[in-house]
Amino acid sequence: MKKLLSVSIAALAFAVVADPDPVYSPITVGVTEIDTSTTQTDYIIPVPYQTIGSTTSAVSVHDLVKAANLPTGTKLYHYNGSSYQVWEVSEGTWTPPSVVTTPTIAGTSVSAGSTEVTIAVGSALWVVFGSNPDADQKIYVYGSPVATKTTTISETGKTYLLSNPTDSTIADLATKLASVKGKGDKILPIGEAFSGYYLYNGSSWVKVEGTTINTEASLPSLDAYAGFWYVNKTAGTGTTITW
Amino acid sequence: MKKTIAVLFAIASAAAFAGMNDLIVSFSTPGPDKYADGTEVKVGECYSLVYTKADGSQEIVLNYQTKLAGKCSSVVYMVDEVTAAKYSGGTWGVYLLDTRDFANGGTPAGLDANGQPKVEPWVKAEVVSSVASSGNFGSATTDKAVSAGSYDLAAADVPQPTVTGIKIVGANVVVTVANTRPFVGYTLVSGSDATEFSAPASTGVNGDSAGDIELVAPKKDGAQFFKVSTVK
Repeated sequence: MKKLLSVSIAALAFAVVADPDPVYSPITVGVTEIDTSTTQTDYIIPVPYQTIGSTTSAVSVHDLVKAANLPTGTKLYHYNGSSYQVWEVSEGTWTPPSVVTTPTIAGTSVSAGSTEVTIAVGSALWVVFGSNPDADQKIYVYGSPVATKTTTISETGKTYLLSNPTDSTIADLATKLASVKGKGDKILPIGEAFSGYYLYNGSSWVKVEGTTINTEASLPSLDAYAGFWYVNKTAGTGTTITW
Repeated sequence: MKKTIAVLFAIASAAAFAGMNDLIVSFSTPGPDKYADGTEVKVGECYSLVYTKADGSQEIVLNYQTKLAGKCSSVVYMVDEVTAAKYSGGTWGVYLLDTRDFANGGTPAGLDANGQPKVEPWVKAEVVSSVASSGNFGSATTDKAVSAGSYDLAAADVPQPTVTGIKIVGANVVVTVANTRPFVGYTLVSGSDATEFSAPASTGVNGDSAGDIELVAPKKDGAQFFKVSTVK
């Protein structure tokens, strides 16, 4: 005869746990919504995020700005300091256009973006709609937030397309640029209603418009996510902008 | 909300019989048995018969798929005489697993051809106490108290979920998450900046060890930041 071991379940017990600590993802992700206007086709897009999970403070152009919710034909420009690369929305994705209809912008060459491009936090991109966007059209940028946002301005003679990567207005832009400014450097704010630029004359920033030099003018505040051109004529004492 | 987990412990009773020294183990549960999320166990869910040695190490002796909803149907398992000899001085317990496949409507994935759960890992809770002994068949006790194992996320080896993507779909933010576990709920916690996260932004979704899950939160104006959290 066999021996019988009877494992009888006398009761069913539920262990009540004193609120175990939740387990969090180590990665934070963010999305920023950029409004559009029904009367404007061109938008400078900030680069406030890095690639999800990355620590390199940079992001793929395509990962940053999703094409899925943008109209077909919308163009995305990236300026590398000497020329533009362009992609356009086709079937919900960024695609190198087979024909670049605008081969130059202000004398600068434009070519089809053939490869995935990585762009540094604090840089900027340029989105151009084929026609004025609808009232509810938004542009979204995605990624992982960067604890300390910095931008490197290291090459003299190069023009940088930059943006304020923070969600706050920068009231004192001159302080932000204190270490990178060099004599002859220029700032061209985007969207400001004047045709000139700001020039660092070796001791202060002055406003230049036509033949008029206003030495009393200070640099304008920079709205959250606003873009501007920076012409790095000569080296400053440093190469980093800490936003 | 308290998290609960059903861990079933049994008392072994041994009766001495003449003849062969084969060991027969029978077990079942009266029910209703529930998953950690409070829902009732489904037909086809798995239970494990676990032997705990005197040194605390454990061996899964048998995995079994129940034929009844809400409880473990009756199982009779025979261990041959030679093998039975090693089950001496330890205790027996029965564990409820959670093999629900949420990519397949939450149906228990069940066991593979080798009798192992198809969905890994399953819940393995800590044994708090167990008093049965199968070493002395002649001095058996029966129907002793049942103990429950405490369950905490760390002990269950719940890894940090991995955020792999984020996108806007309509009026919602959809965050894709990998490295989740099927017996754990996940939610988004959000904040207006990247350092403070508070209220859950999405309803809880069970993890899925077989693939990614998506967590959905309403899109708000401006910037939003998200982390993924297990549901307390």
